[in-house]
Amino acid sequence: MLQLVVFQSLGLFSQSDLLAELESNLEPEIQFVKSSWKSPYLINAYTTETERKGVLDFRISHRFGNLAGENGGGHTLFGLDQASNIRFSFDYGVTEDFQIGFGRSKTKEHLDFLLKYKLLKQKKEGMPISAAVLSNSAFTPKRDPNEYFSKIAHRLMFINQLVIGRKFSDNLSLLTNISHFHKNLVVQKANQDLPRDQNDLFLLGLGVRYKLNRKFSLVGEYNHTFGAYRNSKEIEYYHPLSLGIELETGGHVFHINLSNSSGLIYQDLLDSGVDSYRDGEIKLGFTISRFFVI
Amino acid sequence: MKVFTIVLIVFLTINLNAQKYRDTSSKISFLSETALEDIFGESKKSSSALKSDEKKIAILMKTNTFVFKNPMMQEHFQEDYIECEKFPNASFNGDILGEFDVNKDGEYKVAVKGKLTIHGIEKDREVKGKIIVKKGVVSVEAKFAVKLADHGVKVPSVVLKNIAEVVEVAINITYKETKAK
Repeated sequence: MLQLVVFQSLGLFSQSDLLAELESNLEPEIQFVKSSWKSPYLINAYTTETERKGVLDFRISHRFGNLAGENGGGHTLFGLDQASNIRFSFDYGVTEDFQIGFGRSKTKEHLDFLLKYKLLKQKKEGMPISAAVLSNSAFTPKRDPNEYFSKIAHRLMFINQLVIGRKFSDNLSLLTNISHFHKNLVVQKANQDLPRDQNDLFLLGLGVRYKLNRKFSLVGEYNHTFGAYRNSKEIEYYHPLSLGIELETGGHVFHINLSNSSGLIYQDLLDSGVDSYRDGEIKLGFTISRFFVI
Repeated sequence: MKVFTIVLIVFLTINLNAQKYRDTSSKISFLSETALEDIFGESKKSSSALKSDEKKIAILMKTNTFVFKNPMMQEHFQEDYIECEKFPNASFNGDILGEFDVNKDGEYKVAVKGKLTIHGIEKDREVKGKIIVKKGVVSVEAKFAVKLADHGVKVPSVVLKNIAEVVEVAINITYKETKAK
């Protein structure tokens, strides 16, 4: 009998705070770490994010000429007179984890097609990383009066990549990527003693984003390509390094950056690396991204 | 012993009469209207409990369950304004003022006086609303204004014109009677 009383009064007691009761009924949920990166692109590199479902991201990317060094200096207003590369692109989120993209660059008139899939998502407990796989194919439709491309296939270049990223704190995100770069056509130097370029190349990249406040972030990326050709003293090649500021407002992401490479897709980024940071062959660039919901 | 039994019986009867309701469906939305754009978010995953005899009501909202048409808006809402990571819940907990009868069909105009917690900041509020009893089904409707500044939600100057200072919150919850635990 006494037990009953206790039981009943307990019952009454627990009902007196309805909110506490609701809170205790909440089911624990899987918590994903959100917004490791502001967009699917860092500067030129890909992040572990994909476009959100139903979002069309229109980007205009521009790289000016060299600040100093070759074709730089006062005569070109530190490169501002030149446009070393321009790219227009559309990226679209088909599902939350899968996106497609299409772009056109000034360099080689490259038309590029992107497929990207989010493999892993970082969780607060458990999964420590995010990862994405992607493939980008670029085709150059350039005029060919000298029959440089004997086959249509020679106009194609591919990049296949695995990106692994982690948000370490509210402000700091890091990524690393491993890529396989394939060119259907390789043009060798006439001098047989120099290292040979290869059809297949492997590279390793690093990227960082540091959030300064709600709107501003610092971003940076570096890519190292393996193989004798790109790491030899006899050949002028500089691995691409880019640094930038990311500004985010309502539906825009705006980038201002500095880079030694004028490439806006990996194919161009890796294949046109003759400009050196040390000689001041740095290009100012910007990217404007505008989101549309369809 | 007799007295004790009587007390116990009284006790039990009170408890039997205690009518308690839990939500079966809920819709909580907010609307920010400005000349530039309207921002509308809605959550259907809130929980609520109502005790008709004690005239108490509690609503618990999970801030990350609000869905927006524009995923950018949703991200900004979650990350920058309501800060879901820091403040996963918002709640309204209070006493119902005014008369109503859950056993009789009708629309009862009532008010709820209690504590509204959003963005970790608690405010005493008195909110007008309706309790609707239709064919024995109890539901609650309310609309009220929330001033962002009252709850420490800061809007950056770049989007100041896009977000209203006062947003309208609408609540619509249907209940089902549950046995008192």
